[in-house]
Amino acid sequence: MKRKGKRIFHWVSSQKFPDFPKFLPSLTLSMQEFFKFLPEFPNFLPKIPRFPPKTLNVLAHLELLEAQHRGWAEAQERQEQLQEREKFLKSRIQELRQRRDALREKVRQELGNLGIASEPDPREVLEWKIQKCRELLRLFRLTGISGKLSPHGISLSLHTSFEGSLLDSFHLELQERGDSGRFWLCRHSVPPFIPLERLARELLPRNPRQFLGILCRHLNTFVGRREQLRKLQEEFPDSVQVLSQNSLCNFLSFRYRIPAESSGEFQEFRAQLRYRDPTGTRPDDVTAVTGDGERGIVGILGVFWEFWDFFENS
Amino acid sequence: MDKSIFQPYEDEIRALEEEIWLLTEKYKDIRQESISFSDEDILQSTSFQRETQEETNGQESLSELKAQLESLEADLPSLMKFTGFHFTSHSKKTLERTRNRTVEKHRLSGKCHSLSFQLEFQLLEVQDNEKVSTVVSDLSIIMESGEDSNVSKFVSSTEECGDVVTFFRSLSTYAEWFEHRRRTFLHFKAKYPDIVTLPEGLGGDFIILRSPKVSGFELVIVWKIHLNEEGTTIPVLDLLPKVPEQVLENSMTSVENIPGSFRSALRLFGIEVSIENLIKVLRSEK
Repeated sequence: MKRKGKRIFHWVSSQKFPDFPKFLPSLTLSMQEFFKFLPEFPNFLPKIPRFPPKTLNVLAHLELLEAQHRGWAEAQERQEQLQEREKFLKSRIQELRQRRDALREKVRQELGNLGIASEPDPREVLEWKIQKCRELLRLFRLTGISGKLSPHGISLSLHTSFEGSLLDSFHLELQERGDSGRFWLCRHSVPPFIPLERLARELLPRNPRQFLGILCRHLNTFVGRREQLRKLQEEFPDSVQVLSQNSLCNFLSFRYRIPAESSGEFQEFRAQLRYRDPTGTRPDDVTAVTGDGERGIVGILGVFWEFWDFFENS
Repeated sequence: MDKSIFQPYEDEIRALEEEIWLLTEKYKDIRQESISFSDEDILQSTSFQRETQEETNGQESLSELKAQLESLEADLPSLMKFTGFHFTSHSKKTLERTRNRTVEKHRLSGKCHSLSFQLEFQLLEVQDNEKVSTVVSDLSIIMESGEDSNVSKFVSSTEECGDVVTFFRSLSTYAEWFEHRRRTFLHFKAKYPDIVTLPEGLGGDFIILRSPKVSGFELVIVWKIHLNEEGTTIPVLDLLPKVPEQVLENSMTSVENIPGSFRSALRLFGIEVSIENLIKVLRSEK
């Protein structure tokens, strides 16, 4: 900080000086008064040489003194801050330890006296019942269809799964128009290659449960095929290459590169799978072609079926 | 630079906060799962009128909780009606709960139309950024009509791959066919009590139409509901005539034609109409 005009010296110190008050944020001294006090300082500035007052560098030395003192004050402040922080952290740890021990005791007690309820507090009972209902509604996900009431109808989620893992969910909104008890399809998040409109037209007014059942089957088999494809690519990234797949995943073609046991070179062949019925879990058509035509196709098919069984059963 | 000297403190604080969170969750789980309130307690709580000012300290008021409960309790029965599944009892035990991963053991029993089931399974939920993945394992299913061989084959293959969703979907169609068959038998038994007998009851596989005029002449309609391993329900109907010898000598060919014509009638007119026609034929026979 550059200072213009009269030099002003600021002293901040907690040391005891004779005739000096403890904290002095700023003080304007004339040169002579300053030099009067100078001899008292050497206790904490041991390295400062005493210089004759008439040295030309006196101002520079004074600045040096000030800078050193400021540095010392800052160090002091930092030290205090560190001590405060340490105190704070220690007390926080203490508080958390107490809370943790109290909770441990609570849990131990609960495990000890299972089911003994004290006078039931209405809030607790209500919250318990609400949680129970929410869990039951959550369980409906596992049945494949879950949902909740909406102002004019019902909004449903259809859940798909493959071998125990829940996969995508698709949503439908059905509205009940009038008192006829019939439902109409409003909004949905079903992809376009599933024949939703046709099914809704044919089945929804008369038999909503059958509509949902068939729609679920379409969605489940689609997601199942897609998942099998993904797993195949994950398990055998080198041996299998997917040449083509359509959105519905019912028309797939692969190229297999399998190292032949005897010669060590690769045998390549292509296979095409076709699921004519979109709700079927097995393909209807399988065509396998080797690189060199018909030769060795029987052996190739044997390997192919091994592959097939593997990822069907995995 | 100075921060590093506080690292052990901060580590301990983080570990303590994590432990406190885990303990709080565990306490909540234990309370939720081990305690059960009777219906009277619930009724008492919902009719709680007075509410002092100190109780609503940032939490939801009792009336808000009551409203939440009412809307949830309205959702459940309509969903059950829509899907056909009625859950009668459910219990859950949390085996493991961390910030990203929860493992729970569930026991669920209920009915689908008239078929009861009981399931036990383990549910694993893993949260990975935004995605939550749910995996079912250790599935064990007990079905009421477990003696039926194709049902038990389906059940064991489902248990192996842990596919709860397929189980429920297939159960839904199977139970609907079951219910349809039961209602049809009931309808005919009520309408024509002298002709129709159900030796195995309403849940059985066949219905016998006895001719009122010609003794010993019976038509047995077999209606089997097959459940294959993939979960598809296939109803199979067939007709077996039981004819006494005298009638056979007189009109062999016409008796042989009955099953064939029944099958064609099924395709054209459906089940109820075909059976109705058979009964009418029996009644009017000389």
